Amino acid sequence: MSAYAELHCVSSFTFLRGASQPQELVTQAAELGYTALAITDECSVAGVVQAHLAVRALKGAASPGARGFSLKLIVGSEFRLEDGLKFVLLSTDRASYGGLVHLITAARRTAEKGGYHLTRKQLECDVPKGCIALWIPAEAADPRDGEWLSRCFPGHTWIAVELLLNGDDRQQLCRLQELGRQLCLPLCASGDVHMHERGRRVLQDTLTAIRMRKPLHELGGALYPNGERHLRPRERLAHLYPQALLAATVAIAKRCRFSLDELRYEYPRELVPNGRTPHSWLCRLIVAGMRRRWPQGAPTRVRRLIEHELKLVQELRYEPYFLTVHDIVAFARSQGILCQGRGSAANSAICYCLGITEVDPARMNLLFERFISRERNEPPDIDVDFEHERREEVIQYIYRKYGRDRAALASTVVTYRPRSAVRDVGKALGMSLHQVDGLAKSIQWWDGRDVACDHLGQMGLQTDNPIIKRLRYLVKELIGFPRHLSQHVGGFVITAGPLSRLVPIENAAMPERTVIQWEKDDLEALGLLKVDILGLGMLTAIHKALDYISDHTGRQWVMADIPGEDSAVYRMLQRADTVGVFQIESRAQMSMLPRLKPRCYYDLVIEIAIVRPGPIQGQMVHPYLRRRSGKEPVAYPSAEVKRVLERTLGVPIFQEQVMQLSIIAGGFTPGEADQLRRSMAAWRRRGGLQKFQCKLMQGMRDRGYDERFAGQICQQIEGFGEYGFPESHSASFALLAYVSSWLKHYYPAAFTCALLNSRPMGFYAPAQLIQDARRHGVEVRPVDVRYSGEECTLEPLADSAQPALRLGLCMVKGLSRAGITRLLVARKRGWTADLQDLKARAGLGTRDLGSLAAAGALEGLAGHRHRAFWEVNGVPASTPLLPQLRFAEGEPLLRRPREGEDVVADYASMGLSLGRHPLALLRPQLSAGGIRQAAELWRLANGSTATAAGLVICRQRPGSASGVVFLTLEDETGHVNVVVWPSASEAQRRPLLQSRLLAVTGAVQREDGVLHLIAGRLRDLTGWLGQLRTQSRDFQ
Amino acid sequence: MGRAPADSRDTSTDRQPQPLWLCIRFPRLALDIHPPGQSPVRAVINADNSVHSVSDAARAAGIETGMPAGAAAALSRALQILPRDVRRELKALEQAACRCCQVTPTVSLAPPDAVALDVRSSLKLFGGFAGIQSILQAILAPLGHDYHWAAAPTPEAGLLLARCRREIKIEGRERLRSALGGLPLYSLDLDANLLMRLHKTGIRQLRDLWRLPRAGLARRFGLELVAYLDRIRGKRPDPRALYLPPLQFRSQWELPAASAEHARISDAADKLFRKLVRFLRRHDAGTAAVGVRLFHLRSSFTPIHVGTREHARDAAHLLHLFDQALQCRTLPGPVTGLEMRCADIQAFTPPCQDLFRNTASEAQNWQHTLEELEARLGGKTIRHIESVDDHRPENAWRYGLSAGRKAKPRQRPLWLLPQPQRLSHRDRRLWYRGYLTLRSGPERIECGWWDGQDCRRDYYIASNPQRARLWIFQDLKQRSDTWYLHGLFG
Repeated sequence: MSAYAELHCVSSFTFLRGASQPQELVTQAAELGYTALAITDECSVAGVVQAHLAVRALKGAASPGARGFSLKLIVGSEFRLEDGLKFVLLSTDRASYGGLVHLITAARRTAEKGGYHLTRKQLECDVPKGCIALWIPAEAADPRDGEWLSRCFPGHTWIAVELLLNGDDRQQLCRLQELGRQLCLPLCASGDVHMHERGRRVLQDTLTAIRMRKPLHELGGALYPNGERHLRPRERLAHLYPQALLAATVAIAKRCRFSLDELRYEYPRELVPNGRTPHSWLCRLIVAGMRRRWPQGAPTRVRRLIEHELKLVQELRYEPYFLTVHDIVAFARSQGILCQGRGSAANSAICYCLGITEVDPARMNLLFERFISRERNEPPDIDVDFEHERREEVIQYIYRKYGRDRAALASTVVTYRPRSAVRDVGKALGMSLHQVDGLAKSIQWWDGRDVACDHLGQMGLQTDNPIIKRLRYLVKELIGFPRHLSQHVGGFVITAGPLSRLVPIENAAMPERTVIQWEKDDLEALGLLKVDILGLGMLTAIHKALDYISDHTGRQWVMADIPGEDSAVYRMLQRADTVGVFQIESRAQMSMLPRLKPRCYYDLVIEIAIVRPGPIQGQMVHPYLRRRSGKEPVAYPSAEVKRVLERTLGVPIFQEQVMQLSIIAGGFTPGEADQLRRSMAAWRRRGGLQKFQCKLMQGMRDRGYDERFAGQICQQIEGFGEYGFPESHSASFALLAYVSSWLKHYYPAAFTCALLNSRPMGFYAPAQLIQDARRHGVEVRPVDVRYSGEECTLEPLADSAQPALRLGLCMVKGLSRAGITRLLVARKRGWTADLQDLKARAGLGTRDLGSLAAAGALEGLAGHRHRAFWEVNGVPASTPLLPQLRFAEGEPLLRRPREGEDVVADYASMGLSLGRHPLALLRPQLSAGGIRQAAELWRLANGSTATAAGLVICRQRPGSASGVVFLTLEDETGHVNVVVWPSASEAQRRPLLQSRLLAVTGAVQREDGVLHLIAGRLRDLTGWLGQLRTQSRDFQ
Repeated sequence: MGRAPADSRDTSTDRQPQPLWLCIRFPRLALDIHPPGQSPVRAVINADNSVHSVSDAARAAGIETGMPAGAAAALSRALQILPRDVRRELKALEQAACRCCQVTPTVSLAPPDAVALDVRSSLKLFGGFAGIQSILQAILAPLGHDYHWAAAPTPEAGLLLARCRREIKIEGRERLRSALGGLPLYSLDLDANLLMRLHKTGIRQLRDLWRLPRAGLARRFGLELVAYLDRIRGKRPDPRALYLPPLQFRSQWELPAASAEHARISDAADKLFRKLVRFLRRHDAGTAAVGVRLFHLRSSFTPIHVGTREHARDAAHLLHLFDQALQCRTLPGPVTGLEMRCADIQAFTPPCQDLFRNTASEAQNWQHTLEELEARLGGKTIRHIESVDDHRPENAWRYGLSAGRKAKPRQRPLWLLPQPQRLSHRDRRLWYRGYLTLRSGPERIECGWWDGQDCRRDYYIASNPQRARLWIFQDLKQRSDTWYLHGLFG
């Protein structure tokens, strides 16, 4: 059988055209015994790393001499010039690869996000020397096109013959042979491959429909007439093509010697002063850091740890990486930007010395080697969080320091998720917009990989309807397919040489932003340096709170001034009094706190990691709590396991522990354990955890662990999936959780003010934050055009240590930013406390004034809301001739708004009210209906039946809770946590999903200081609110 | 058709009795115009995908006006969603107005869902207001729409009350202020934005508006608001366009003696057609469809339809078409008389005349030929072939009413069999009136999985000893060697 190399093949990274993933193509090509496979996505190399990894995996798996071993990957790209000329370029060596990448960058940078633009002139300027060109002639090809191409790639140009059973294949072959004779160009076979097997035709047609934004039945000739564009068996190719054309492909493949493994990475050099080696410089910085951290000298244990870590770093030559991160962090410090590192290498002793993290190694039990392994040969991974409002400064610094040609953001491949897949497939199948929308929306709540049958019924669709059958099949196929490239939240790649010879750069949606075509994982796989520059709202809030406290106390506060391990703070946490606190404020965390009762920093590390879908689905929560409270003995199956699990009482809670267990109990190598971690993150999308599980079970059986323990570990790994939380991240987060708790406990006004000014962030809306602050005795003052600043501010209170909190103008809905600025300037210059004057001096439009009136901010100038509106509407526009036009008008007969009306208007304008809680206004009615206050429920016996009502402030249906819906109701006395089991929710979907004011009758359940109301009957009382606009924040 | 303005009555000073506007609102018109479906849970959706109106069952399920369609669908699995059709609503409204003309000639449309009639002058004729109400009920009942009524001295006030479902009669403008005072602000027919601004100023009922100074109101909320309020209370004239029922032509001709002779019948028809054309000229109109009934003894009749492709009023041509149609019919017996009805009457646009050539142009002649053919064959029997963009040969064309686009140049036979014909084998060779030889191919077509007519075929051009060029295919979905003949090349 003749050998063949496929030289023209697009993968799913030619978005909405290629219908097979790179891995599938590689596997299939190996299966068919191809000599080589070129991945030639259209003006892109985004898919080649995945293909490269797939080839690597095949080589690893195959025994020598087996099939698949010989498959060679060629990196190339398909182009279509703006005049329609189409060709494929294949890289032959490192230099030609650099040229190809450079060309892609040039074509991408001159077009909008997602597109490219290439002209003949551009190509002539940027010819990637050494590349092989395959000309793909159109039906009536102009010989001059081929001539031009062969002039650009002299001696490297072939005519690609793609016979796809179009009916006139024979004539086409003759025509191209004639063309070849005419131009003296050789011919080769190729397949214009879009899918790895014929069966993907259905998906390929669907992708075309999505791309063209038309339903399938309207596409007609825009679809490919058949499914021949797949990797065809060599027997068939031999039947279709002359032998010489097939042989030509192999000859071409032989000339392509480039492999991605050649991309050796060089770290930037400018971080080391002249005359120093990276190692000596790093040592020097660390020594200086040690002196700062331990002025009396570091403990021996830490010293030994640092020595050990340094040795490892030196061995693997990672010094420049640590120097890079240190440089960025040092810049942030110098600008007063709060930052904190987290992640695998961040919590090492050397990072503590370098100031990258604040997690004291003496307090933690983290082994550095776990994060940088000799075997994995991958760079360490450090994520650095910065204040979210100032992250851009850091990014701009990096661009400045290394230049845009050496630093760029990694991309994220946005893939199809169930919802988007349903939407696009539904449209392609010609379903009505409203059906598609309904289906897609219902998936938000009832998610999963399949479109579940009962929801179809609810949409009025039949399960056995052929369209639905197709929809379900296609949705399953489409999920996980890449849709487009987007900007990674903060993964920066920094290189020594120009980046554009390493990986293509393209435009991002944000102006002045560029991203590279590879994802974070791709960079990692190729061993390229990457630093995550992330924004974190809580750091902004902490910084602001510290500033407010400094202003208030007259003493400069920094984060290090906050005393550690304050028992009063922990007592507050044990009461679950954590609204606004970082990471542990959610409802689930709040119900865990009184049970876990954190007493020290490490308890917080556990608290943060344990309330995650991973540990919950892995069923680790209850065993841990039982062991912690002494209800269950702590036992370990072996001494090694004890070493790993001792700090969490024998229950694996962190991702690292699971990996370590796989090593010591399952006999995995660290490299395998890392692969396990990766597949854990991806198994929901791609599957493929099976083989690890078998191996793990076997390994544990071999080492004498009993079946039950092994099964339990496997189940835990599965539960961890993508939701497992690493200890290294939790440790850093716990620090911030503690700091924010401390601020909340001692300076509630400053803390709330800082949270409000750092929005959007956290779990709660401003209304809840303010309610909570008032419950803690903070005086909150309304927005007032005479006193409010743009942001919320603190106003000193004569007879109290706590200042009062004044709401800022930014809380007013509809008030323009420019209006706020002009108003503040005008106020600084002084005005005569009169609406007309305000309008004239601040140049406020009627819209802005109306927004101020709606918020009640004009009360001081114009009286109650109705009056304020009347006045605002009546202020004449000033004209140059009559700048202060005034009308004499009679007093209008306007009623003062009732209390309820004011509350409604407050909510409408600001989403919160400082008046009485709406439920307090309704209380007489509610009490008459036998509805109790939230606070009253605590006085009831466990198990008794009661009715409570409140504004629905949160509605959750966690994926880990098998259909249970959690609601949080708020009334004037506090929150009620409601649990709605599926049995109760199915019949009462409408009140459950639609109510803003909801009454719940059910059983009171109290346990460990947590109160739940187990819902029986739900009643929608929204009508009682009139037009009260509270919006529940629905979280998944 | 055109509407004439009603006489604009001066409103405040005349001594004549004040008008009494009876306003009738059909709250569910948008829903009623849709034929009943299987589900009683129905909602009409606006173009912006929000709910416009709902049936009782839908309301009971919690679906309300203004909510997004998606939210509505989530509430009831049986919900049937209907698109809003403003044109049909207006038609239905005109139908209702047409019936109301039996009570008074002063009928005015108030789209989208109401009509206003001044019944003052009809009160005596029908024996008072109660009489009018009962006769209206009888007139409107066959339409099957629910309605609310209200009567007031100004049309705006009547409409306002009907919108609020207050079925009362108010006489005398001076009583309007107090009678309307309790109506909610949101019943006013104003832009939503203006309503919100008024609401914010503390106005909840019309009473609150009466209290405010006119000048202040006008300065803040515009003159239009004040004008509207004045129209409601009759302080400002409110001329309304009157509704005119559509034109119709109906005429009969008795034959002197029953006859089956075509010439006699044609003569009579000629007279009627001339009459029709005179009627059309008078109204500057033309017609494209005329119905003629030929009456026989014992009140049975033969209907004959005369249709043209454009609106016209050429008596000779119409008669010619009638004759053609008549010739193709066998009449069941002698004809005693004719009746001509014509409801399809529209404004007439004469064809363009060329200055130099006398162009009864070719296109027109062609149209006339087609009309003649249709008159002979009866009904819409003439079809054209259109090409359709589809890979599947049997789906690549269809019958259409007008000549379609040109097909793409592809190797396709001119004659496609209605059904592919299974080919047989002889001596393991394909056989169709002789052994077949494959000439070119294959052309593989794999297409159509999405509409249940999935096809996977390899097409070849083959020839047989008679030199016929055949289009044959192998069906890849069936076991190998299943071949079909699908077409013949010319």
